[in-house]
Amino acid sequence: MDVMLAGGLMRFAQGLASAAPTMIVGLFIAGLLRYYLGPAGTIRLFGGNGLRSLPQSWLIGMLLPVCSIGVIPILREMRRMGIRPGAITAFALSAPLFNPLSLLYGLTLSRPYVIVGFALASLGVVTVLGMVWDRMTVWKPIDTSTEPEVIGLRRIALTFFYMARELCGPTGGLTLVALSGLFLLGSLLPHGALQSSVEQLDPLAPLKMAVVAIPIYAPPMLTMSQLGMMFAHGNSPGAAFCLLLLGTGVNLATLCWIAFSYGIKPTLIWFTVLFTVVVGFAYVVERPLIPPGVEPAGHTHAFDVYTNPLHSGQSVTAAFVVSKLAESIGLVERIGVGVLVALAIFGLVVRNKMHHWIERLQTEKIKTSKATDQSGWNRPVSPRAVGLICLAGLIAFSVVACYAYYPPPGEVLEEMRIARTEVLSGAVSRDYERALHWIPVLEEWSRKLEVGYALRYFDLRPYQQMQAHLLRKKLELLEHAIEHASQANKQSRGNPANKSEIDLDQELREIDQLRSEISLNAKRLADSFR
Amino acid sequence: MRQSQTMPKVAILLNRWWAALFVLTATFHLGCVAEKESLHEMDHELPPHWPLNMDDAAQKIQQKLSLIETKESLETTREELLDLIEWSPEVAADTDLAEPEWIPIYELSETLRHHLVAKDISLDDCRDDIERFIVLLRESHAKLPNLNLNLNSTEEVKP
Repeated sequence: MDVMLAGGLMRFAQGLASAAPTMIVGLFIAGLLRYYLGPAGTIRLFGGNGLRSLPQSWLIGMLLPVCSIGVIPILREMRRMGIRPGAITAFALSAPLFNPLSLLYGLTLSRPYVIVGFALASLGVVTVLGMVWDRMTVWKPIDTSTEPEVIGLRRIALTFFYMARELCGPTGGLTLVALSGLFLLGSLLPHGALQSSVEQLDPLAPLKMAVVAIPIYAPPMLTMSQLGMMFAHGNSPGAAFCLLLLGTGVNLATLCWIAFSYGIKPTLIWFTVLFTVVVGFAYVVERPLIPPGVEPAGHTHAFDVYTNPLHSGQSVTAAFVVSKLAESIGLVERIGVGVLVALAIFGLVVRNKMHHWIERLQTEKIKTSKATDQSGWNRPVSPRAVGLICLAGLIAFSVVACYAYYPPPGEVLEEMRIARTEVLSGAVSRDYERALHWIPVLEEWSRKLEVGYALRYFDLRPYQQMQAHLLRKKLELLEHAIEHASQANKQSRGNPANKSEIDLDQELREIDQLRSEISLNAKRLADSFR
Repeated sequence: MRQSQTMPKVAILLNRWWAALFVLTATFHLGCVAEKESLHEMDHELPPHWPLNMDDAAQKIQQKLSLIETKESLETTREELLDLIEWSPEVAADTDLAEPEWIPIYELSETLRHHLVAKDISLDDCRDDIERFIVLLRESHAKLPNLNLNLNSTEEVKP
């Protein structure tokens, strides 16, 4: 199999897997807006028709756990219900940027003011852009007196049918457009090609990042970890801001949908304004946001996920691609993909065979006596109340999910102990594949340790942050040393006569030294978090 | 007739698409985005003035301060002094120094860093605090049960 094609397909599949959970949430929210809140409730939820709608849409976007693909069905519903175009774009841009999980994660990455500053800057950008967009587009408020009439189980069924139909309709199509950007980058960009493109104070770094970010699809948590890596490596803060706004906030599908809905020319103007404001702001924050005390590493691995995962000249088979994908896709994503596939199959059936049945379900009056009986618990509840409770439930679920995703320090330390053992035993037994697999796992747990502690004790001491930082720094050095040692091993195996450019003995000594340092850090880290 | 009208549009669209693809490819390939051939390209280079341990940090800070006193210093000396003050808490945390003893180092480092970056107080006015920082680093270093080498040392690691 061709390396370019295989790399592109792998990135496409990984993107689909990471989008699956938030896409399901997005479809569900769109269903709620359509069948529960209705046009009047939805307009009120997003701040009415005044100027307040811009910050309110931004705030709602910050609370809902959707990505730039999951936001598409919601945008379609918002437009159908006559929400102001400015508010729609404000929501479209802000909803994928942050959610409660990613915001908490982001606070551990750098000095918290950076993430809070990015969030406030995004509010500024969406407000300016929303006002421009409102002036450029023609908009008339629609008649909101037509409230949804179906209730009870029929409404639940219709919401479910709607999700399935949307997935097999425009939303599904736009998802493929969004993921095609990842396919394109994964095919065209060689492995590791973006590692040195966004260096601190490089005058072109924010611009380069802005150009690369346009075809990118990135879920919020991935962006947060990328921002973390960029700050840890002392890369350009302006480029990080461009990645956040243009990579996470917008993808090819968002642009296509806006162009289809409002015309190509206004979209081009809108996007030019967005691009200019974001890049301009990136250059303004470039110097002030450079984290103190971080020595620029001269590279970053944050964007490896957008380049070809395979090396040129590597022999690639379908089985190899499948095994690599299986390694990189987690349990939650697998469940998400499973649900999406089931929903898509059901959607195909609904679209082709059940069309008339759904129409009847929507229009037929309720005749049963049970439905009209209002005694006991069977009380009429307005669709708006049910819809708002569902949305509040979703936000409450996000809060609960924060506590589940970031477990208590005791549990995290136990997970870290297991991961550390795997890393260290992989390093000592020269089983480098194992060590390289577990290093990112241990890094991830160290972040969760900080957030989990801060969530429960509302405090995170500088000493704790420093110990977690030291662990990640040592893991990064260990990763490099192991990669060097692996490369030296391969070179010497390939051609024993040629001496490798890497000094294997020195790399092995460094691995042993780092192993000992990581063990020493383990005790300090555990003591500080207990 | 209908077909003949739509075909050129499709052709134009395809041409635009290929043009965009070409520009994208050219942008990436003309820039520094070639596949990495050597892993040494992404080594973490340690700056030459990175301190080996707290004692070394104190010594290097003292040296920079003396250079600034003799007016022989360049702007780089001042920057290196700031680097050393910023790095000291990290170097201290990478030892067996207990948290209560680490906190004064961190707090004084943060205060000094704040003033040196903001330049709201002259270096002469900070001198006493920097001297106090040097003493603190030396005393803390002396308290360590094992004077183990710092990982971030620029010295070659002995097997």
